[in-house]
Amino acid sequence: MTEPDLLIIGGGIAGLSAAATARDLGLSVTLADERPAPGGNILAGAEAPPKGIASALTRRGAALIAAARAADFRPATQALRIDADLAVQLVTGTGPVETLHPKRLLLATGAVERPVPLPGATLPGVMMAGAAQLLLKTSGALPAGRTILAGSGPLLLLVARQLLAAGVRPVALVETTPHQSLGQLVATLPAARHAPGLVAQGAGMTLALRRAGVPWLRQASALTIQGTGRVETLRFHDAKGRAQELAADLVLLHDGVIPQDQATRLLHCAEDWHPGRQAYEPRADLWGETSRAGVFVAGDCAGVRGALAAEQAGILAALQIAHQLGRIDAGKRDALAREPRRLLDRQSAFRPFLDARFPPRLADPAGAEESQVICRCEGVTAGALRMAIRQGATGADQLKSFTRCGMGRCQGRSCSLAMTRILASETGTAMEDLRRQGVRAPLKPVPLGQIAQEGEA
Amino acid sequence: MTQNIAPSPPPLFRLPPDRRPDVPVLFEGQTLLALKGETVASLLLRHVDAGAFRREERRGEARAPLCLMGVCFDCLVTIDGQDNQQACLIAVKPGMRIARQLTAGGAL
Repeated sequence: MTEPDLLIIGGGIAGLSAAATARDLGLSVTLADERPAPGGNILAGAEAPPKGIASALTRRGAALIAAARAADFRPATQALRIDADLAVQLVTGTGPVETLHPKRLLLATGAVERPVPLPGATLPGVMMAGAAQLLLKTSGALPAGRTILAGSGPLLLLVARQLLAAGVRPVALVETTPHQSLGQLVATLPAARHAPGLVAQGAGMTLALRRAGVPWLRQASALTIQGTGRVETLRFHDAKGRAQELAADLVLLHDGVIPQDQATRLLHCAEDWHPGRQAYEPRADLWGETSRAGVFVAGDCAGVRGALAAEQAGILAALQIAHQLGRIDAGKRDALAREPRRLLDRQSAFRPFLDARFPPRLADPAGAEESQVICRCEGVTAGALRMAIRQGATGADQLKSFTRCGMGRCQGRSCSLAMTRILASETGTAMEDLRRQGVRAPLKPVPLGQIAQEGEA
Repeated sequence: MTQNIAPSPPPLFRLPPDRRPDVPVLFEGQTLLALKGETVASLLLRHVDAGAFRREERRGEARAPLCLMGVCFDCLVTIDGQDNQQACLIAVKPGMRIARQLTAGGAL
C-alpha cells in the first residue's frame, strides 16, 4: 500500500509551491496532475516561455517545476475517486487504477474559465481566451485568421496584449465590462492600493492596447455568434445600443474564472456562495483545511485570488500539514507562516478591486433565451430546464434527472453553475440557499477495463 | 475512417517560423510533425479545419476544442485505438496514431 505523507492533486502554482515546502520539511510527497507537464495554467510552458511571457513569476515557477520533476511527480494522472478516509484512486494515461492512502490530501485543482452559454457558443471557432493563451505559452501557436476577443476580465486584456506582442493583431476587442462611475472607481481604491504593482501592470496593458490601435468596443452587450458549421460573425450591441456585426474566424471568449471544484464537491466539503466573486467556494480555515479533516485546498480552487496568492496558500497548507504530522511545532509553523500570510493577505485584500472592476456580464444564464444550450454535452436548453422546473424539478439533482443536464461526459463542469443560476432565478431562491448538483466518482470517464485492472500494476 | 485533411478553410492556428516541429505522428494515415511535448489538441488545431474536428454524439453537431484545460470534452479523439481521449490533456509521442471522431454516435 502506498502511503505518502501528502498527496497533492494539481501541479499548478499552488500545488508546486506546497510540494516544495512539504519536501523541505521532510514530508514524502506525491504530486499528480492530469496534464502531461507540471505548471497548471499560469505556469504552462514556464520552463521555456516564448518571448513576452517570461516574468519573475515564471522564473520562480520554472524552479518549482524543476523541483517537482525531480520528486514523485505523476503527469497525465487523473484522480478518479476520493473516499472520506483519503483512499484516492489514481489512473495514469490508459494504465490501471492505483489506490493511494496519503496521510493528508491537498486539492490544488486551480480555476476554470466561467462557462459562457451564449447563442452560437458551441460553434467550432469559439474558444475561451485562456485556451489561446495556453497554446501560445506551451507551443507558441498563434491564431491564423481573423480573431476577436470578447467578454470581460484581466485575462482578456492580457491575452490581447500577448497576442499583439507575438505579432497577431486582433480584429477587435469587444468588452462587456460595464461603465463605472467615478464614485464606483473611487470605492475600489482602498483595495487597489494593496497591489499597486498589479494595477500599474494593468494600466500598462491598457495603454499598450490603445497605442496599438486595436478597435476596442466597450460596454458591449447582447453578444451572439453566427455561422454554418463554424464561426462566421459576432453580433453585439455597442455602448449606444446600436447593432454591430464583425466577421471572424476565431472568437475568444472570457468572463472571469471560477474554482475547479469537482473534487471538493465529490467529498461533500462545505461550501459557500461568494457574491463578490460570483462563485461557490469550499469553506476552509486559515491553513486551507476544509470541513473534511485532512483535506486541504490551496490556490484558485479555494476561491479565485490569483497566482501570487496561490503560491503563498500552497506554502501555508504545507506548513499546517507538516505540523499536524508532527514534523514542526506550532511555534516554528507560525514563524514560517508569517511572511506567506502577509503576502496572501495582501492579495486577498486586492482581489475585490478586480472583482468590482470586471463583474461577469458576458452571458447571464438567468436571462438566456429558451433555445440557448446550457449543457453542451447533452444539448439541454434553458427552455428545457425551465420547463422541468415548472414540472416540479426544484432541486439541482432532480433537474439533472429530468433533463440530463450535467449527466454528459463533462459531468457538469461546463453547465453546473449556469444550471444553478437558472434554478435560482426560476424558483426565486438565493444562490447561497441552493443545494448544488452532486458530483460522483469517477471524476473523469474511463473505460471499465482500466478500473477492473486495479492492483495488477 | 480516413479523411483528407481539408486544405480550406485554413486551420485556426499556425506556428511562428522559429518553431520547428519534428515529432512524427500518424494522423488518419498521414504523417504530421508535432512539437515535442505539445498536446494532440495543439497539433490538430494547426492541421484540421475546426469545422471538421469532431462531431458530438447526441445530435451530430460539429464541435472543436473550447477550453484546452480538460473541462469541455469537445476535443475528444481516438488515440492508438482508444476512443474518447481528451486531446488537450495528452502529449504527442513519436508514432502515435490519431484519428478524429466524425460519426455521430459512433464512439459512444
